[in-house]
Amino acid sequence: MRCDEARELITARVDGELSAGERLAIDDHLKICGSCREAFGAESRLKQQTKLAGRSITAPATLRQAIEGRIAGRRPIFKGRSIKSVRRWFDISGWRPAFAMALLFLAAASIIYMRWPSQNIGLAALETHASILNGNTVLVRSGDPVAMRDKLARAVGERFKPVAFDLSIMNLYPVSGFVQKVGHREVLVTVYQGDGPTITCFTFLGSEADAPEGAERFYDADMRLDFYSFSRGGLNGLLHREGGVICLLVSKMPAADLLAMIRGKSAHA
Amino acid sequence: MKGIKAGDLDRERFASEVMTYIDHLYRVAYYLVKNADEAQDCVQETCVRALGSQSQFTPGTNMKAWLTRILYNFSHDAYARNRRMVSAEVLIEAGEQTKDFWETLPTANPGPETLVLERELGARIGDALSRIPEEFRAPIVLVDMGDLSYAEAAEVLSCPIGTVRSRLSRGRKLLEKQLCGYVGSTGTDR
Repeated sequence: MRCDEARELITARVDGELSAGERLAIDDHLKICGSCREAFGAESRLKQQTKLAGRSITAPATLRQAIEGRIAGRRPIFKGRSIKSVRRWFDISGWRPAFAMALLFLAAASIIYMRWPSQNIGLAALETHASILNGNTVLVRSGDPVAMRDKLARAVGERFKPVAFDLSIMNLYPVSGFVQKVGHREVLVTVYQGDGPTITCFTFLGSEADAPEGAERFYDADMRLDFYSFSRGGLNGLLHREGGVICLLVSKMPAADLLAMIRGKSAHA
Repeated sequence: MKGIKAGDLDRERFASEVMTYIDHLYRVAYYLVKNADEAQDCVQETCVRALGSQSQFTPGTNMKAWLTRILYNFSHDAYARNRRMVSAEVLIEAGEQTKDFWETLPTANPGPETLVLERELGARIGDALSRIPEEFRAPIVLVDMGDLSYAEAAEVLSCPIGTVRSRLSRGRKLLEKQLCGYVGSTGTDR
């Protein structure tokens, strides 16, 4: 076999797309040809890295929400576009029935989604906190809270930053942070540890609907904010909206103490 | 009062299954059209088209390849002529209820540095891919990014399997040149 004949077979070998006979032939050639072996190695590495690069691309949460909105027809999704362009889109032959069918089909689907079990970011946060406490999540510790916060923000393309608390009065400090993927959403996780119980702060783009079913809602008149508290397995969660993000604190500490902490942060802000 | 019809259930299942391929579709679209906003448009249109063409899909066959073909055809038709047909802008608004119905429990927690490095690699490869002619880029996107087999890629591209293989081979050579050794230097042991 000549090297120019081997070229495409090397590609197919990298992809595992050869017949048994072709594989034997190319493997025999690779045994005796150093340059083709090198080409095989280089192409394998390239494929691996390309694949890895592909995996880093996931659908934005906003896209999923847009599709769900389109499914349910509950949200105008063409904001920012001229009405003319929207009309033009609807005027394309064949699209109106397709769109109507999609709405019909997926309105039903959305009902299923609404009942989808264990699909809650609040519950996922409780599990993460439990995993931190029992050592299943290994924390990479950082000695520089400011740099850690910046890194976390960079990790989500500066779309939002982790909500920060000064808990030094309780001898609690941000010791570790990471990005957690829950479904297709990115959650910035900051772990506070020190003398008291560990507190984990989850910051993400979302809404109050991310509180689990059965969460208790209460209004704090001083802060003029709605809070949602919930508990599972001895862990307490307290969720509220802070500007454009949702902040969820999870700890063994009672919700009242967590609330006092948030109040303290507000007083210092 | 009538119960839920079998057809409705089929449609619900169909819609649910389509939703499981959103990441795959977005990934392929992202590298095909070279623009995040347009990729989102493509995926939305693909979903609408797929749901409107449910009758054309044979249950039990390869939905991933079928959806990818719809996506590819749409992106090819709409964007080859630099024509923007539709775009969506959805913002998370105050007080608006949002739910991610497909979320699963956390599996791994890559550190922020890992995430940043992966994004850098993704950006470099995306940039290099964008400089490759579409006929060579598409097989790479479908096979490497989209995890399609040669047969599935051939179905999407409406060409023989041999053509996929040869374009892939040439495409990877071009990609390697564009990356100028970046991939080799990053290694695989990060």
